[in-house]
Amino acid sequence: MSDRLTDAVGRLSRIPGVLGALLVDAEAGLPVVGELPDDSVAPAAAALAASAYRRTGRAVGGANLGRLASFRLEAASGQVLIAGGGGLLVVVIAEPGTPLGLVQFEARQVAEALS
Amino acid sequence: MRRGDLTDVIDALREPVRAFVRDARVRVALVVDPSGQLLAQQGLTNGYEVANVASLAAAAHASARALAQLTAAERWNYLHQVGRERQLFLAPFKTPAEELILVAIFDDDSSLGLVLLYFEDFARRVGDLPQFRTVDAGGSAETFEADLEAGLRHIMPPDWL
Repeated sequence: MSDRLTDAVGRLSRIPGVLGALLVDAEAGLPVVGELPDDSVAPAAAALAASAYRRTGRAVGGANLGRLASFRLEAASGQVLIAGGGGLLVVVIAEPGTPLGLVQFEARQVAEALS
Repeated sequence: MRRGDLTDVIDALREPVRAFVRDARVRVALVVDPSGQLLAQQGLTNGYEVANVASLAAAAHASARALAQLTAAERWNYLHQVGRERQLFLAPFKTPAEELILVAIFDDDSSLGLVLLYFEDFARRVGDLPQFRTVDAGGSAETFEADLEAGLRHIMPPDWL
């Protein structure tokens, strides 16, 4: 199982423009496996990504839009894509301007494989 | 133990505790010293509950510390208990003056990761307070009950006790 998770993170991290990827325990908000440029930010990234996903999921549910599959945050210095899969979240951090089509496709595949 | 400056300490802790509750999205936060004296609380509205949680936190801390010593660990970092609806987080942290214990109770609006993230910042903020920069005398089993009551009297309205 842990090899599968490590492979998934490695595959996401190798996409051009991706700075790092992280699998997060959705309920605890803790990092499970990750490849980030700075490992020390993994706990904060995991906690905040889980919180953002939970809150966005509630907003989406409240608007009767069904279950949240993934969402994207865009900022001046980077982009974050978060996709839900079972009890895990797939978090991908990419450089600004990176086309996220392939990232989103891969992240959803990983999320689906984990659910 | 902290009879003289208790009001000052309680006032100083109010803002860091409020910020922790807001940022970590916990329902309840208490700061207790190892003798069970309550120094700050936010979230509980019943004096009886606060007294119970404060004394249980001090007892859990003493047991966990003894267990850590038995297993050759220098100290324990935190205790996390997951209930059906709520979760309990209990963690000791050091200030230059003394060791304190943070107790946080949260539901699915928060997570262990979020609590850990803001706990670190909270502990640093409390350690930087002037009220916790000088070493104080420690409490004892004999002063446990008196310390607990002194803390409650300062924090809870009289009609809740």
